Amino acid sequence: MKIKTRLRINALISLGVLVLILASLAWSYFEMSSATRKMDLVAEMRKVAFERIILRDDYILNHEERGRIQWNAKSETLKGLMESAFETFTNTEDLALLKEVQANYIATFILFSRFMKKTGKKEDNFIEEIKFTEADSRLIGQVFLRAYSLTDNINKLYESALRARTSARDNEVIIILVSLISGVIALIINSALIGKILTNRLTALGKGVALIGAGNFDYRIATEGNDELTALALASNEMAMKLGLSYTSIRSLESEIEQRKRTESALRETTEHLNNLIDQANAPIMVWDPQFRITRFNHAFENLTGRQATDVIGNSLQILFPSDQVEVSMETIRKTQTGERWEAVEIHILHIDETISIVLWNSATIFAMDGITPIATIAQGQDITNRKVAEEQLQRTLADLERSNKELEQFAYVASHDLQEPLRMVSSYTQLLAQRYEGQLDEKAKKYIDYAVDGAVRMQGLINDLLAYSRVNMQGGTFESVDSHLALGAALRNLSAAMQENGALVINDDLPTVQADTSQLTQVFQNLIGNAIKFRGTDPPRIQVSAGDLGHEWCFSVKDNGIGIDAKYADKIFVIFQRLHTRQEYPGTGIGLAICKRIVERHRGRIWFESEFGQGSIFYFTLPKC
Amino acid sequence: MIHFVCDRYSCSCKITSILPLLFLTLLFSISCERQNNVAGPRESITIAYTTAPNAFLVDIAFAKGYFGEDGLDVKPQPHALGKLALASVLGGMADLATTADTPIVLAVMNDKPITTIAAVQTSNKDIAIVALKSRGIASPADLKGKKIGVTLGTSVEFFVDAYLAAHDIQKEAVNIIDMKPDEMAEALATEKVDAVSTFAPTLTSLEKVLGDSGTFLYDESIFTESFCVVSMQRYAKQHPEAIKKFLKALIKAETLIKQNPEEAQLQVAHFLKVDKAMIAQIWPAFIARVTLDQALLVDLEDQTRWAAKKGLSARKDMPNYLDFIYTDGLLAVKPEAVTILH
Repeated sequence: MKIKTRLRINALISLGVLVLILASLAWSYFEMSSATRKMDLVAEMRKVAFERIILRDDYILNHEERGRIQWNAKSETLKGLMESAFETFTNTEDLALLKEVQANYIATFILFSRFMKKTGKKEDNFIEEIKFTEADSRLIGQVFLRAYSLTDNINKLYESALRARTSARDNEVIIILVSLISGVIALIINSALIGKILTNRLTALGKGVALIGAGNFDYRIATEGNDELTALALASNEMAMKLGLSYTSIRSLESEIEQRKRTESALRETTEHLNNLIDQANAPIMVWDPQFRITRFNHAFENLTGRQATDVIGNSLQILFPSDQVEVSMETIRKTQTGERWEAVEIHILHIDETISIVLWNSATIFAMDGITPIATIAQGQDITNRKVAEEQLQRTLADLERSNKELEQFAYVASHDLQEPLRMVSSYTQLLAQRYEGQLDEKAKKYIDYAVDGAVRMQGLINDLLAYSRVNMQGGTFESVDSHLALGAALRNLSAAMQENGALVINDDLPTVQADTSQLTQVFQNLIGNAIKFRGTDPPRIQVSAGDLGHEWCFSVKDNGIGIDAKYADKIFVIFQRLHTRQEYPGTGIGLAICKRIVERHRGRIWFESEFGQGSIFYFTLPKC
Repeated sequence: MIHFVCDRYSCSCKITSILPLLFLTLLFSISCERQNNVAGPRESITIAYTTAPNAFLVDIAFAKGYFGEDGLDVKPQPHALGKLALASVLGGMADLATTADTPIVLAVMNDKPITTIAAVQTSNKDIAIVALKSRGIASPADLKGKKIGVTLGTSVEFFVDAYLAAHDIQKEAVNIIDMKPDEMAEALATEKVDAVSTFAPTLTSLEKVLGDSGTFLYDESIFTESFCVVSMQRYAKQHPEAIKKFLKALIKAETLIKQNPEEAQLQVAHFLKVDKAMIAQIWPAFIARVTLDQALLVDLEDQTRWAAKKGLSARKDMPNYLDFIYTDGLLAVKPEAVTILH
């Protein structure tokens, strides 16, 4: 309820009490007036009844006509008063009493009239003593009796009117008191409520406003009720909310400014740091704008060009290039504006002393927020002038070496091929000499001829091996995708006789498909497995062929249970014609592992072994995946 | 520490069991309060009353149990006539009696130490002369030479004398025959008498029986009959509280008559075991009110003079009736009802 309404209620209560009191006064005035009128009427009746009794007694004593007339007159008066009383009194009890009055009046009137009629007028001797008969006495007695009753009735009627007036007065007092007390209590309660509400609400409001004023914009004042203070509380809360929003905005702005300052400071520090880094960097670094004007130029660049940064900043990049390469270099540089990022672009830089440095550049272009408009490009260079010289020298050396190797291979091939024929002639004619002059030659001559033939045969073998070794590179096929199982199968078929003879068992794991020369891969498997059978131990050969994935290459292994190899021969066994055993112990020229090594290296792989003497060996070789 | 465990059901059970207890306690308190309002210990009292309808207040107080409420253990003692009820008090058989004024006068004139506690009912129309038209009685003058049945020693005797005197009929001109009220109907039927004078309910039943064949002679002016409650003077002196309680009960009955006359009539009819219609018929003829007024004194003295002249007692002087009226009781409970000039 609104306070204004409460105050109106107070005013209404006061007004109501006033109206009630006035109504009560009016009512009681009416009631008391009515009761007073009744009392006056009854008092008049009592007076007349009393006068009537006096006149009655006067007549009883004297029997005078005057008394009779007066008594009758008073009886009429009393009758008229009674009639008025019937119109005035309305209460049931009063009316019942009035009826009794009327009955007693009638009785007295009849009885005394009868008495007066009976006794008659005293005409002759008015001093004569009056005597009453028994009937007279009886009549007088009844008159007295009814007269007393009549008086009693009138008195009771008077008391009733008096009670009515007293009651009206008491009721008036009670109503006024009750109205006053009720009104005052209602006023006190309402006022107390208003006071309490005002005190509590204003206290809460004051506290809330103080808190909001102190900056607690999240505080909300309680808004129960629907009075003016509620509206004020709501308005205060709205004000607090808006203040809070404003304050938050200011705080955010301040925070943003602070953040920006910190950022700017950090940026300055970073920029300064970057500048220092750029300036102090060993690599030449420079920055140019979209118009290709130099905006930064570090010390390394100063050293590279012999120019001072202060001299070149603001100038076009063109001043940095040899005159015959300006257009080419600028064309390359323009591409950076389209977002092209250099990873390793060589651009020649002109030194102030006219020398030219070859610089390998990488760059990055910084664009505006739209991602299109270039702002600046930074480029870092690496002076590779010396390296380029070294590379050119190396290329020349490699070319010489390759040419030399080819010539050597050509020589070995040609030599081995061309040597075949004279060697066959030596061997054939020596054997023909022995056949023609069989029996003519002594044993020593035969022995010498055998030596010559044997030597020729061995030399032929060596030449064949050498020819095969040289063919690895000279006549090697192209690399193709080869299923290693197929290559291994071909090798095993070639070795089937030896495997059967030695009771060898070869098992293999899952093998990969590799990029290789099929026949050469078969050759590698065949040579390694053949060696494992050849250099077997006392137990039948057990050979395990496996392959592992090393990521960028496959690693094949051939494990045997043969006699093993002393580790000290690791560097010797892959050299052509190097043998660890005599020909009598193990036949052969010592070309097999050398060919394996040459094939693997042709495939850009590696080959090595792990072994202990008497414990078997494991030969590994790798093949690149591509 | 005591822990009260009260689930919803048990609480409701407890409440329903407590409610009657509280109600009984309240009733007991009210009862005690009522009893506390009654002064003094309860007293036993024997009331001799008339079965005639001339003490409505006593009848109602009996019927409604007002005597008990006011601390009296009453023993009702019914009598056909007031003079018989008074005789019971005089004989020590009852403590109080309801009776009309004439028996009181006769008792006082014969030096009986009685006292009137209060007048409880008055009437100017309770008694009448009932005559047979067939016997030629149509007006008061026609009574001359006729036999009139009267219950002597009652108010009826006084009424008849007053009636005859009022209508200039000498007593010697009529033949008064004493008879009880319940003998009168037959006496008229057998023409043993020409007329009778009596009061309700005999009067009412005769009116009903005779109808137009009867002549009913009333005179409301000549006699105001007062019905009173009397006791021995000794009893009133020794039991003033009992008398106050008795009077309080009658005042309650008076209030009931004012506030609910229908209920009052019903209670009277119920107590007297008569038809309610009969009570309703005679009801306007009576004023039931507890009083001690000056009219009673005049009435008693008037009847005393009548009794003395008639030789109904040896005593010839007028007694001071103030000595035979006990005003203290009514003054204590309703002083405004005592209008005797004292």
